[in-house]
Amino acid sequence: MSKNLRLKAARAAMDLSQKDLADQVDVSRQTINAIEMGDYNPSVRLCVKICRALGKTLDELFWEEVV
Amino acid sequence: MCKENYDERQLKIRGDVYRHCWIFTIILMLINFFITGFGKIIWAQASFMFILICTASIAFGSIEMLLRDVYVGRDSWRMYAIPFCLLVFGLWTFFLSLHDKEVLISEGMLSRGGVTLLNAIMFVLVGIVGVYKFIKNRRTGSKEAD
Repeated sequence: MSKNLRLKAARAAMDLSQKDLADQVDVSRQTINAIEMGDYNPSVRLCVKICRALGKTLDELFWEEVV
Repeated sequence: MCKENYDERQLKIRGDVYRHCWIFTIILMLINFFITGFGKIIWAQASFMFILICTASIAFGSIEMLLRDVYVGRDSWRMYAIPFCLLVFGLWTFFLSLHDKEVLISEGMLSRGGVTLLNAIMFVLVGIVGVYKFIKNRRTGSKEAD
């Protein structure tokens, strides 16, 4: 899996640390890091939680761009 | 510990680790069976054999959980408290065994002293991995891994 740079950018735009975002969506910091590094594929439920925390849509953060 | 609220990633990984531990234990028991059954080599008293196999499996699982950040506690002090305690206990037992000059092997079998020493070494290994993860996670947290 490739890195999720959009998630990282959205988090940075809101000036949130990985720990801050992890606390908001009730997961560990390592899980947020794993998602951003592309090492873990989150469930849809977790994706939705993250999107709500960052004020983004699923398409904006998680759907792969079709070239 | 039982009330820990693991997230979905941690639950999945913990399940994987328990499976690996189970397989590891079975492999050790099979090796022990072939050594003692067919090889007729009694390398330790029966009770000590199983104590060592259990400790090895627990150490194996603990190390994998620590390395994959799914040990007890989510980003809390408990994740490191148990390995620290094991490190202190293991080192204390290790040096005490050496100081008391306990007999490690007796009549071609591991003696009580030998089993104690091996257990201490496994505890120390878990503790060292715990310390390593503590330092690494502190650095990662402070640098924000960005």
